[in-house]
Amino acid sequence: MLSGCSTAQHRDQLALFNSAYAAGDYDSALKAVSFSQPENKPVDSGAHLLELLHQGEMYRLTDRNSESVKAYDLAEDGMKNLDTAGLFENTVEGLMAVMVNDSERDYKALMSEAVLVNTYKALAFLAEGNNDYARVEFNRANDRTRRAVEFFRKEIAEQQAVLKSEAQSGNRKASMVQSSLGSREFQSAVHNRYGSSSTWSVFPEFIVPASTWLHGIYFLANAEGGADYERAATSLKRVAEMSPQSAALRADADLATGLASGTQNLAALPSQVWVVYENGLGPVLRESRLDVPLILLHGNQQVPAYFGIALPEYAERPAIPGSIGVSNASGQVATTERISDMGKVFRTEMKERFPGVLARAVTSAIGKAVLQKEAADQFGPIGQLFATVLTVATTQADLRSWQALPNHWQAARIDRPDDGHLTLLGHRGEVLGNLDVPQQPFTLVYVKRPTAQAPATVIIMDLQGKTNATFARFPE
Amino acid sequence: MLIRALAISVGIAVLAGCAAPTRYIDPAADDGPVAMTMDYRDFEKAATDAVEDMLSSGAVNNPDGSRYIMVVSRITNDTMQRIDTDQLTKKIRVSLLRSGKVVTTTAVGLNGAEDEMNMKARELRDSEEFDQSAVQRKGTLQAPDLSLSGKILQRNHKVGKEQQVEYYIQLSLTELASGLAIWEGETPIIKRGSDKSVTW
Amino acid sequence: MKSLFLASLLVLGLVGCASQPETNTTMIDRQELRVDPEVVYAADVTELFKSRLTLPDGSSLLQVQFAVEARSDTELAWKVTWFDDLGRVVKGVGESYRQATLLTGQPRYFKATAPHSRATSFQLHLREPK
Repeated sequence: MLSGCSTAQHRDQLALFNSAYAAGDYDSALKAVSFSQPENKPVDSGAHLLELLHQGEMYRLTDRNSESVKAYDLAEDGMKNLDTAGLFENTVEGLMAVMVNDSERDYKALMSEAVLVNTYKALAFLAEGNNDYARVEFNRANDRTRRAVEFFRKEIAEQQAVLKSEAQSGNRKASMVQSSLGSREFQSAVHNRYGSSSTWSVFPEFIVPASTWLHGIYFLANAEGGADYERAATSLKRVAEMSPQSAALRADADLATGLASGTQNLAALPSQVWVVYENGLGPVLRESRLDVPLILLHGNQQVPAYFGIALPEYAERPAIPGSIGVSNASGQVATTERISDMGKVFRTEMKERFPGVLARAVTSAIGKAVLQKEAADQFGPIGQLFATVLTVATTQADLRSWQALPNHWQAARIDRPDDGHLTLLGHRGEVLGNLDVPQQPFTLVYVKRPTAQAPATVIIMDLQGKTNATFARFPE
Repeated sequence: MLIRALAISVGIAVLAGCAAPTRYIDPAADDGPVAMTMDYRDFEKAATDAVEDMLSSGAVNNPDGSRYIMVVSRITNDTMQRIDTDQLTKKIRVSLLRSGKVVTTTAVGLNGAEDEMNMKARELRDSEEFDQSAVQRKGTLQAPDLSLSGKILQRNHKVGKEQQVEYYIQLSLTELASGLAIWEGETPIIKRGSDKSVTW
Repeated sequence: MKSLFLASLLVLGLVGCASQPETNTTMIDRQELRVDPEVVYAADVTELFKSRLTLPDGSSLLQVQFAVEARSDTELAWKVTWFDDLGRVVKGVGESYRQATLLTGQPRYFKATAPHSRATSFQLHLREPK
């Protein structure tokens, strides 16, 4: 059917991307997500958002930082107005989504994805030695986090209030949606499938720990005074609070707190090397279909009817087992620890968004049920058949997502040895390659590896952004 | 499909009707709409505040009657917007130069000379191709007396249903002989607007 | 204030003698204060002072201070244009108007300093931003 088209197209494209990406063939992965663009026309960044997100990361992993920034800039532009779009939208497109289904719309980025766009852009600028712009991006990532926290705290509640008042003011469809969502049968159907959302493993508040952590170490390395150390300490403490079991995170938070309070003297601090490791393939969305009882209004009568709705559900993809490490000449090894789990980040956001997603799915289902009924009333059996076929074809959840994200992030810290030589160790303890850490106070060794079949991309960055990064693929 | 086609054609019709013609804006009479980002009007306000205050405080006035020599140091952009901080410093430099009190050196800077010709021209020394009487002699470049540094800060908050963005343009003028900040200024620029989208 | 102003004018006159050639251009009679009717409707200019500020090197700068009081909440835009003793414009830092919000009954004081000691007269323009 017509409306299924673009969904299938996207699925093919993402499958192609994934097979190349998992094998570490980033050029083919890039090709899979490229789109043709007439030279004299501006890119429709909203429509191509998903491609642009993937492109940005593929360019970055092939050491083409300025192209990466360009793609990410467009992506950021494409999601500018999507950030806070509500349950009931006045746009034509929003109305259509409710009539057709979620996957028919332009891709709507998650807030956590938006935070990561700014983070990756900051890393690309650091790799280019452009510290001024890196700072801007870290500030943006931090502001997006603040906005997300506020959004989830207030706006969701407001959206539900809107639905309620619409229903009360006699909007027929809104009242059907409202009473369906509120019915006990409906809630237990959802509960049976997903479990109670209060038991989902989530963070107490919206956060992308990897982004907040990078924000923290960046400002620690670039502090010009007490206020910057405070800022670093605030971020690092927040991340440490989210994972209380992590010694690495606590040590970073303590370092920043010490520098902020003056108990740790910067001059006495040896040059520091952080290793950050993006491991594995990030979670993807799966479709989960369930039949739920809806309450339809025929005239003044409430008629319960079962209807199929399609909801998105996150499924984990594998990571490389274990952790990596760095060792110096004297045999000291620093092993990376988990600092941020992408699945947990998404679940946290999903938990907040779930009532909205559910309401939209129900709104859409009721719209179609009404359509079927009207088709039957007006055009008889043929009309009803046509409407039913349309309904089945268009009941699909939006399963698109940014698939170049890792399963989780790990981190470690070690003093820079005087000769600058460190050995990077793989997940089985094998030597992945040799690192030459330049003489600079703060270094970030960035490692990203989607699968054990793919080589690790290693970027050695000056956290103060004074020099260009060195780029390598291990094992060579 | 019909809905999409309808939506697109409505969209096109709306766009066609609204395309704004390109036109010149006279900075002296610009009552145009304000953006949440920093624009030239904000830089102009900050530069005006800074220069008037520098002049009237007497900080840039050399008691011996000669001009001070200033160097522009780092102005940290701590906002969420890609700003060229020269937009701000250039206005200040131009006005201070016009005041007759301060001249800016282009021979030194944090990342080397702003105008590399200062050194290039001296490489002509001992070249047989050049009339040596016109080549710059040793010891003619002048060292700065004052250094201009600063920071542009941004803080965003949600205020009611709106978003408030606060910019602080902080500047310091350091007397290099003593290391003392002989002049300091801060211009806050506060804007309030939609919370629909990010401020950049 | 007035005597100070006179005294500083005198000082300036003395300083001026040594450095500037004498001119016999007649001064144009230019209003120091121009207020647009929209502003007159909403606010009063209650004070307008000018004085010369003496600097450590002996030169001086013209300074203008004015006060406004609004009868109703209003927006105000103001700008001072500076002129030398020949009546020519002395360029300032920026060209744009400075904006201010006036609350009813709240007296507001604004100050402007000339960009160069050459400036000897001024014109203050008050208007309402669109």
